[in-house]
Amino acid sequence: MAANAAVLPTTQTDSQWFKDSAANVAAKTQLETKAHAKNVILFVGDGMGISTLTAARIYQGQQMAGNKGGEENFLSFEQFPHTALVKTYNTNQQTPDSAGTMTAMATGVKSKAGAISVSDASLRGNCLSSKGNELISLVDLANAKGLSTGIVTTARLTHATPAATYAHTPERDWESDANLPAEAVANGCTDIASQLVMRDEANALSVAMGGGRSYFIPNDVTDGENKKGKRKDGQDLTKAWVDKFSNAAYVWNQAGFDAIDTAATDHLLGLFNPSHMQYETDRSDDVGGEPSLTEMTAKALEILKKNDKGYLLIVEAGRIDHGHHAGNAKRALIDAVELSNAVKAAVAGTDPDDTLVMVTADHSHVFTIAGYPKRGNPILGLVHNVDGSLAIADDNKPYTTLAYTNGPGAVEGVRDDLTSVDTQDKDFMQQSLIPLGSETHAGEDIALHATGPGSQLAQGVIEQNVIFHIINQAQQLGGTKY
Amino acid sequence: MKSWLLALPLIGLGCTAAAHPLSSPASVGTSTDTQTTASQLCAPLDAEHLSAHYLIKNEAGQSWQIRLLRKDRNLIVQRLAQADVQKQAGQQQVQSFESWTQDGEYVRYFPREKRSITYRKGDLRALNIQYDGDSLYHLVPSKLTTELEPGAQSQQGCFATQTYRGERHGVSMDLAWIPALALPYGFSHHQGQDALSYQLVDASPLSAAEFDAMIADYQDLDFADVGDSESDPFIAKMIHQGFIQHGGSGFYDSEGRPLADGGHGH
Repeated sequence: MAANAAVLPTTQTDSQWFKDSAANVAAKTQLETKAHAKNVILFVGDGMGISTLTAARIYQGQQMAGNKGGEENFLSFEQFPHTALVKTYNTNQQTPDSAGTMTAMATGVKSKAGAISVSDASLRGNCLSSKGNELISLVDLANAKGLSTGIVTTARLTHATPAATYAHTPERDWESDANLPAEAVANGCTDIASQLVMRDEANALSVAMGGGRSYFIPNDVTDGENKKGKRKDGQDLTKAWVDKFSNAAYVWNQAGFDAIDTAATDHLLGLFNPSHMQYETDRSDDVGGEPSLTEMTAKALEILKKNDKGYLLIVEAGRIDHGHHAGNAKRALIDAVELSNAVKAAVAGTDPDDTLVMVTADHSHVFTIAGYPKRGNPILGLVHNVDGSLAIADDNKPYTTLAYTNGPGAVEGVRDDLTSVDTQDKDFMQQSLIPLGSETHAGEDIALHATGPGSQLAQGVIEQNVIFHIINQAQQLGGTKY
Repeated sequence: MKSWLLALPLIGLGCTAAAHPLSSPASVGTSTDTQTTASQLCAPLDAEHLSAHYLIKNEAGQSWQIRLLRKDRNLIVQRLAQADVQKQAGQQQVQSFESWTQDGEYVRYFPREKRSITYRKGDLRALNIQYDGDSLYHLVPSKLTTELEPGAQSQQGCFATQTYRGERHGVSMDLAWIPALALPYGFSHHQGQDALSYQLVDASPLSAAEFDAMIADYQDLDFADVGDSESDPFIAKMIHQGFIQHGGSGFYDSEGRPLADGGHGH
């Protein structure tokens, strides 16, 4: 039924809530979305469940001058026109891990936890069982079509999420040759780092940036940040990258990153940390200096856009997950906000008529927003009631809005009194219920936000592997009929 | 690894040629052979490349040991309960030891499994674990040498020492400091019924290669990956035994007992 303003009282129609939402819906009625995209950018916030989106948007909103409490804010991608809910389970786990979930997104096929783009028929950690069960990924398809491809992450490039876009292995932990068991070697499985570099030029990544340097260099080599490599085979894969590919460059620190001439570089490998890159809030402490996720995204686009046929770029904010695992909400939220910044930069730097931009997560975390805090209550703070009074739990102590169901912040014995604790400090560890060494993933659905050509395919509640098919369909990658 | 601990006089097995003999009150290094060769054994030690071994006692008469190994600003710290000392005497490996890198990374090593877990600065902060790098490097806060009252200078075995005495935050302290090594020769503090004393037992040169060999060939796990690795039998075992942080400081002695202050442990 169309709204008839004539029968509505002015107290309703003059409301800014009413006006804004009416304008929003009116804009949607004019929305036209093309079917096919020249370019696709897929952002994945590792562990960025819906409660993380909510808390991150409030956190960001509360930093803004003139905010009305922060709740009114949107992360940069939350006003994309199309949205879906995504079911994340693995074929063998109700609550998933990143390997199985990214395999679903990258190949269109759900698989087991721990599996990197090999099918469910493989046994985890068994090389022989994976033979013949390797799955073709979006990167393989895009390269075959002549597009440029890129992977950017703040985790190790060999970590499960980025790895599932280019590697095939039954064990996510086989990141360097030093991790391969005898069975894997005997049956011809290779490590993830080597699978990133030792590719034919026609199927090479044009951009690969993230952490994980030690998995690419020999164990008798000390890198620029005074850390030794892990490889036992003596291979320096950073050198191999430069030797194998045309117009190739390798950088490991901020200075090298800043000096890259994107016009002259067609294959860029950036490894900015021996392991994962820093949390965004700790980035300035890095020994060699690291670019932000936003900076890496922008640099990647400069290189990928040189291909007139188009490109596929996959960007992971890998450390949201780690902040949550540590029970440390502020680091997770700051990294989620940085992902929002990276998306904003990508949208600003691309043509909405030819570029599909999607933002999703691989899985959620047991991260809760609770109590009845007043509007504008600091999202990292103690709960204050609508009248401003401190909310007190049944143990006569205050409590925070943000908490975890399980993890390292578990209360054992008597709960700490947080009255004089700065819960908004970046090092504050939220309280939790169940004591676990590491807070866990959660099994509820996550969100998919999409804009640009083909984004209308993001709708309803979908299996996670549908994301592959949306990209395949929109970018006409040839993985199925379209 | 060089098995110099086996030669510690403390456990009655003689003294290595490289070790610096010490006089009372450590009550070590008193064998005839050691005394006669003392002058030739007092070659200068490089403060940034050494191994120092301390005996620690508390007011209840309990004792344990710490071995501090330095390479530049990198540290390895081994905490040995008396039971561990006996194990080492029998050439059994301690369950774990730890290191601190000059970049502020903390690494927990498990020799039996040849596995290690690295806590990077961001991980430590995320776990709300504070540490005092200065106190780790010097075993005591080096600023004690400016905060306490200086006393006599003396020669203790091979080492020229400067004594300090005073009270800090209600705690009475006595420090015998070796300026050349920036380490205590002896240190004691007491407050009410609580008391703790450190005594240097042995100090010897340690090459960079020896330091590196102690931590070579470990399969390392970034602590950030623990959450994705609970299916790893090693991680599952460490969690079960309490070595992986939950709720406490995240630092544990070789028996899995929690340490209160971010790995300093004393």
